[in-house]
Amino acid sequence: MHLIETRDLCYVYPGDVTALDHVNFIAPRNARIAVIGSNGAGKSTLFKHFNGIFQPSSGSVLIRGEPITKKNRKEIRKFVGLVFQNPDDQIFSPTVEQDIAFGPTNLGLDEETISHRVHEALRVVGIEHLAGRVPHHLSGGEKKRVAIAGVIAMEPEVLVLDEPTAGLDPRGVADLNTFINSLSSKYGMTVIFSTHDVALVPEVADFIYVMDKGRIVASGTVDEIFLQPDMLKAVRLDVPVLPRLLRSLQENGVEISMAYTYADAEQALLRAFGKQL
Amino acid sequence: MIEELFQVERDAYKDSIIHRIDARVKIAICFAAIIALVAVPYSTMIYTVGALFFLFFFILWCCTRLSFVIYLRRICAIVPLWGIIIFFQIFLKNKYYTEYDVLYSLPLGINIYAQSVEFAFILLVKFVVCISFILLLSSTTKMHEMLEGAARMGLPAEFALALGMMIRYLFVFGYMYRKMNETLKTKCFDAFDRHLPYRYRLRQIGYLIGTMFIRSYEQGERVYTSMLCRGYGRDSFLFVKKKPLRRGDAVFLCVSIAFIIVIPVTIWLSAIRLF
Repeated sequence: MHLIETRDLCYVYPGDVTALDHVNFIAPRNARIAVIGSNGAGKSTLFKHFNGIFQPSSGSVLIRGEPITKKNRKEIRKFVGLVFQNPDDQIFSPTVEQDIAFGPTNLGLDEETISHRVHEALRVVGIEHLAGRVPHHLSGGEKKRVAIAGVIAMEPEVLVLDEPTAGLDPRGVADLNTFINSLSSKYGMTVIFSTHDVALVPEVADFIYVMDKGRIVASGTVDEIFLQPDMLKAVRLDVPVLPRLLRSLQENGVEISMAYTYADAEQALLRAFGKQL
Repeated sequence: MIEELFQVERDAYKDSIIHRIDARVKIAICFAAIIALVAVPYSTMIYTVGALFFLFFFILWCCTRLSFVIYLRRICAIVPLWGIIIFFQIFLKNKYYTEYDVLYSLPLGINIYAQSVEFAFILLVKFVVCISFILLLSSTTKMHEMLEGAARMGLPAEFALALGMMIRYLFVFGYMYRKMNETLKTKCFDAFDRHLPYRYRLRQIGYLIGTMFIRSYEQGERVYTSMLCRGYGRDSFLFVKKKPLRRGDAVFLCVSIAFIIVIPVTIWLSAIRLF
């Protein structure tokens, strides 16, 4: 049984705009899944089906093997946490602490448990010092962390992040990578995120879905997807810089193994030049 | 006006003995002062009560370490709101007097009555002192603390949540307005530039306001969606932690409330008048 599964999911926006076209998506336990695609590919629309915000026009969405109904919707929203692209859409309470407490409060928890969850979420995201601050005094990166903490406080088993790196500086992106990896390795969570920053994907994903015009045009491991540069170009994406460079070196006769992450590429280059770390 | 909002917030973030007082205490004092002033009968005794209350307010304001010019600027900013109401009283008869003496006669049978002028002054005193206490509260209390204080004092959960969101998005839209304004400036648009056609300027301002409305609506939709994602429902409320009142705050509250009650009652009973 998969944590999330969509079967032939279709969604049509008012005005007859097809946003999702027979999407089949699977999210197993403790996985790190990237959904990549250009703007308007349908990534955000797909994500909004994972916790019942959108109802499919046809097809089905199964969470732990069960369809989303009015009865289990609250439970599913606790199970699947969704972090939006723009933190200003998600932070609506006057202080950081109150905003993080919003989800747990809605779950009907007592004050002590709410406080515990708030402090735990602040600690996990590394923003304990921001608890008493007001959101409009925070930087973009800090707001993003607050938005994530607000969802983490509900203790979801699946965390869905819509364009998590949008608007972050390089340090913010690096911190987020570490954080996403820790969610999976430390807490056993399934993390699904969308991006069109292909360089980020090998660092934080085990499996990739490629979307274009509401369809899933390819899916596979990092190796499988980035071995298809023509397909990626056709959907207005590209292979990340490091594998592209290594492929170019291979094509020019340099004996070097393929790598996708920075650490792997560094090792491959050192080996190719006869040096060891 | 938007800049004034940010200035009010900057002032509230300053530090002084008044800033550090619990928000509940400040809310209680502010409301007590307003209720007391409204309860004082429409007579000239309000001048004495008003003067003593204003003195009390003035002492508190001096303790905030905020400039008195800030107070004057803010009170003047709301003059158009209440000034007109007061001004028109001088032409009208009201239920508090039985006889009216004409002070000046204007064309079209319009008269200014001595009693109506007195009534307008009474209203002026009440307005100024009430608004002064509100300004003291808003200039020395962070908005979220004010909301938390009100929630702790029993403000219904539905109101607290809605007000909390209002405070949050007041600033979001403040920043949005600022950015749009900066964009207009970057494109050399000035609403008061007489070189540009009047209708063109009007249309651009209309677009600006229209865009703000559309963006507000869209923002509202996105926020509602994100609220649903976090389990929002009929029983949702703003999480406010319990906080006991400090002894110093409690003493200050008792002394202030005693002052606010004793002054009008004493003046009313003893007929002491400063003016």
